[in-house]
Amino acid sequence: MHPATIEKLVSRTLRGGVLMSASLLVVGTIGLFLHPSSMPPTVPAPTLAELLEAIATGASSFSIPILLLHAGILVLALTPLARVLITLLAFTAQKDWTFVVLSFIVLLVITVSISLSVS
Amino acid sequence: MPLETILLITFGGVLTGIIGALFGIGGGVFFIPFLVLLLDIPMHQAIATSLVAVIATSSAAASVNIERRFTNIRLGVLLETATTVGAVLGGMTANILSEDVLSRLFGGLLFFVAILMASRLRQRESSTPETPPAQGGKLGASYYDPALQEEVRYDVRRVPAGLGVSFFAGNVSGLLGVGGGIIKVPAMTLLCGLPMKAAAATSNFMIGVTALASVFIYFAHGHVHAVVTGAGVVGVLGGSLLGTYLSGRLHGKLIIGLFVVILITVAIEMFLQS
Repeated sequence: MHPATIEKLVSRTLRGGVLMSASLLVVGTIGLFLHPSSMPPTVPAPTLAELLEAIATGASSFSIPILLLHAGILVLALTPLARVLITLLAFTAQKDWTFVVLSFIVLLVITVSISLSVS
Repeated sequence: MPLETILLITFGGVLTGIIGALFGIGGGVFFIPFLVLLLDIPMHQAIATSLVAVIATSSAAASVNIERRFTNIRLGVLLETATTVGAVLGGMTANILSEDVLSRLFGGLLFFVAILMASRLRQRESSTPETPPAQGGKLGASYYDPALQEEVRYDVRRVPAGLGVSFFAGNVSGLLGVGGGIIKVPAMTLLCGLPMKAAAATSNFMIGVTALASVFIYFAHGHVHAVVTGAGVVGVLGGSLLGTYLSGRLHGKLIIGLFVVILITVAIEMFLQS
């Protein structure tokens, strides 16, 4: 894979992630203003596990604007993760094994952090 | 949460985004005190909000920097191994510490930033370090500098020191919700010998992953408030776009001096908050 191709791919992933997330957040925030009753009454935010469960089971306790906001936050948080995956694949394609290992370490640290948070 | 508060959060985000873009400092340094001091948002929630905002602004900036080829992707990935571990540990520590302790630590960080900014008053405006002719080296790279109108080549020196500083910067990021560029950029130029543009771009490239490494720990403790974070991130993104559009960077000594005074005032407020 040519370095310029990788740079373009990484750049587009980052931009796409930010744009997608920003759209979700803007629509979610506007939704809150249009339907103030959709505001969550309680102060504590859901944990990641509760949120994933709500998404999996079809959004029981969350209003649509709140779900949009959470989706936007998750898309944003996962944008750098997608970037790490792309650089990992790119170094693999270049057979640059030192940087394959280094990318893999970064991926491992993040995966451990996320899995500890979900459990 | 009242709708006025949401508007205020977005407004604060816009302001901090503009200031951040103008002074070349990530939003967290301003956004966290704004949320805590003016809107009474709990410290941990403010940190989590800032971390998500940091992912947004750094990803947006990194996408532009990579296309300009300022970013040293290999060096970035190498230093990320240290900075992510630091960030995870920082995030874990923050969720053990009380709000009071975190506020005081944040006040300390603001003093540090104020001192760093004050030292800029003494420097000459052009901050291009001497770049010795460089050849080879696996981490070395080059980019075209439009201001100098030439290809800039450089080697990377003192990698172990760079790794150590990256670990520390990640730690501060996970603990206090800032990007950590304020630590990484000087280290990369002074220790590792990177030209300013490459250092800023490479630091930015790492910051999104650094924030990602710790933000899920805040998620696990229920500190990511959807409304505060959503409204805040929208504001910060809009503000930083606006700030970048307004001008590249401010150099006026009066403005930097004023900025230092504001930083110190906020630092004292954060101390008194606890």
